Amino acid sequence: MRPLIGMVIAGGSFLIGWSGTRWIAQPHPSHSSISRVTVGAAAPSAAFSSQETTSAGPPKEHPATIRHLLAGPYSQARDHAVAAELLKLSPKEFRAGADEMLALLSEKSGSGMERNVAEAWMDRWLEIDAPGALQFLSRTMLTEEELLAGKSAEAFERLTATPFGGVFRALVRRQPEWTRELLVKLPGGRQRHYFITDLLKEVTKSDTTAAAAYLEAFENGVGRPPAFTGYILGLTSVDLRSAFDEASKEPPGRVRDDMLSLVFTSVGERDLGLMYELLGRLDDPAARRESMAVALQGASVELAVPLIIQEAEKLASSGEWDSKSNPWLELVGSASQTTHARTLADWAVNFAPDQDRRMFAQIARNWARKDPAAFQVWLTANTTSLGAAAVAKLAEPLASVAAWDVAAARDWAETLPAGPLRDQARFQVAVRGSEGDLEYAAAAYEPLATTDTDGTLAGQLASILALQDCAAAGDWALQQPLPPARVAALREVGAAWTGRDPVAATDWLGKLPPGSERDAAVTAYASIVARADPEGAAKWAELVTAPAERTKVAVDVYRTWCRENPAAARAWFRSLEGLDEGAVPLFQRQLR
Amino acid sequence: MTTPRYLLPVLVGMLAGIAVAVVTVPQRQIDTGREPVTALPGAVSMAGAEAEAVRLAFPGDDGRIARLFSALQQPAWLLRQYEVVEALDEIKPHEIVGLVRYLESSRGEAKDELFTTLVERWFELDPAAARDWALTSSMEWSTVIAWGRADPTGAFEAAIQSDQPWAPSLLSAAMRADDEMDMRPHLQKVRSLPLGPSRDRLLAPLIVAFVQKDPAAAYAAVEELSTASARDQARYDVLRQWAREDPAGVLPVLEQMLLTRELGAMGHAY
Repeated sequence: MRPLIGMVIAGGSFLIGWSGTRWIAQPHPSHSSISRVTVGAAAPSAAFSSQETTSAGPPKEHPATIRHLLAGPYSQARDHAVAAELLKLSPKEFRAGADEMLALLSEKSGSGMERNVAEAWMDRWLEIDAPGALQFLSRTMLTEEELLAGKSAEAFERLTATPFGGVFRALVRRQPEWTRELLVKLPGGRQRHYFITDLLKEVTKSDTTAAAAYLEAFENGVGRPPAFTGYILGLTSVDLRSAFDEASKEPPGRVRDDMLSLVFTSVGERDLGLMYELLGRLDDPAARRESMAVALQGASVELAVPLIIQEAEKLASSGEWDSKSNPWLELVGSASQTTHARTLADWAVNFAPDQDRRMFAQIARNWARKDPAAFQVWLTANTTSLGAAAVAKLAEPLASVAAWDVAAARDWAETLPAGPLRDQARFQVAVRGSEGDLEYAAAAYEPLATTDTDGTLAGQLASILALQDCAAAGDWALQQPLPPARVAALREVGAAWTGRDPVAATDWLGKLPPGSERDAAVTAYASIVARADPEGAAKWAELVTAPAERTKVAVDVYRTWCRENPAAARAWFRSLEGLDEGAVPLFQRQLR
Repeated sequence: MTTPRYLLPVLVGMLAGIAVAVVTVPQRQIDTGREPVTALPGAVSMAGAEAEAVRLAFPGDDGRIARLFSALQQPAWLLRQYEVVEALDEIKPHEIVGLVRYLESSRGEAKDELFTTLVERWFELDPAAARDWALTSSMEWSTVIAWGRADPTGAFEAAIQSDQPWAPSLLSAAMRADDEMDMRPHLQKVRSLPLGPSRDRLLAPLIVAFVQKDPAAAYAAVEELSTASARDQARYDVLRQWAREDPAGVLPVLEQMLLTRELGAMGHAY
């Protein structure tokens, strides 16, 4: 009897142990507090219930489920559910639902999410059923007609944001050789550039040896620049030194500069320690200076700010500083939109090599736009130490301060000691919006008129005066003592008058004497009127004589006219003489 | 009463049951409320320099944080988000602050994405701590968006209590994140603020958000703004939104404006 009782007890204990362990092992709703919060709190509607997102219905229901999910508001849970849905699909389900999926992505095109869904959809399909996916693509999205018909080069650039862009990105990653053969068969031209760059980028990321062979295949002809760009972009992801080596082998010129810029941006983002080594291998001081700025702009602002100050001082002491360097201006501009703005302003306002205080102007502009109250506090603390060059750059920052709270800015302006800063502050308060006291503003401009060397203040005041009376604003503009002030003011009056009454504006323009002032007003007129009457605008644009201004208005009119009648626009643009070819954008240059 | 002589079969039986269960039961899944899927394509480990940086920044990591950063290597955006969310499920709430601080000093598109995702998760898990951190941060756009999405009510309250430049953006983010939010109490709260530019800056985005619910009321509410320039801008924003939602409905208002030449809100005639 005893052995039997023992066996019974042992059997019962076995069951208890087994079932207890199974119970513990099974999923519980409260098992993970993080996941509970994710699914509960972050899934805002019933659309994301696990029942719906995990049901394995018939094939055609998958696009419907994804459609349902995408119709809901964004949440991490929604995106997770869409991805999970795609990852569950079998080859058969991919094929069965492909047309519906494509229709779904096309109808929702525009938000950016469709591109991401399209990319994941095609990535997964190509992974588990490449023949099926490629067959589908050949039949639908990648026919020659679809690839090229009716799409301009600009439209192709925008493709990156569409479902097509997402599908293509997955394709080049998963099927590079198939894509290369497709591209080789396409007629040459700018349309292929977008595809070629993407292809080379992805191939290079996964296999640099294969990428070199791909690059060779596109080496001759128009495919070379986009292929090389893709190659360098890919190299920056996998080997920054090789990317630098390849970019620096290019002969001096725009392509080399652009490629070095790509490399140094990645250096800043990923390995700032490499910056000095690579800079040391550049012979040209200007290239070193610009590349350093690009790298620092890529780096985190905490690392970049001390280096900006340190390296600018070093460049100044070695005589390599250039106050007009755009990459440096962009660098300090972006860094000053952070909590480091005060540090940068304290330094830049006293940085003697920057005689015109261009960097300070950039910092003040961005800081005042981002945090006008903090900038105003800084100005108050530095009122007496600001030099004339710095004060001359304060028009836009002071406008931001006035726009933030005009009444407070007015009170603050009156607390300032007499001098140019107070004049500027009063002027900006006066012209603030359509509620400004315009007579007072015009009077406030008088003491500033002789120092308004770039016409910023005159343009600002003219745009406000024109809101009330365009003719009077035009008269006021012509009376200004400095030519840049007259040009800037007439440009504003021209734009305002054209918007309000183009016929009256035409009469006024016809009475202006030829010269840079009329050029400015006509440019403003033609650029606006081109939207309604491009042919008429083109005739006015031909009256502009200064090459830079003539180029600006010609490109404006051409671009607008192209939407209506590309052939006529091209013919007109090609016939124009006296343009500044260096200032014509690349795309238009190729036209000529 | 169990006597000592039956203890052995009890222990043996129970241990055997546990052993069999452990061997036969499939590996327990962390309950994510989501169905497990097959391994993702394309995911690779972090590259050398980045892996080293993460290892140095999180010396005690048992692999969970490394997994989070490895998820960033997934090239397809949606699948990357999927992997990040899966990896995030294993991150403990108190670890998020360290990750956020680490990412604050890092750059790169994928890291920016992770930063937003982490901040959003932090606001879900511990809104008070996340709020304290956010208010002392430089309040980047990604923080504003993440706060608005994860904690619309808290974001709204923080926005109306602040006169910082980010306040209107935070309020707009909160409004966008919660379509179902009853806006009337919010409108009332902002209306009760003292008249002036701070109130205008908060009221304007609320009015624009109200277009979806009642465009005519939103258009009328524009008059509550204190300055002509604020009214012009808000009128323009309301009309643009209204035209998107109901092009036919907005036409009579536009016709009336043209008749009375209230062109300030419409920009140039072309």
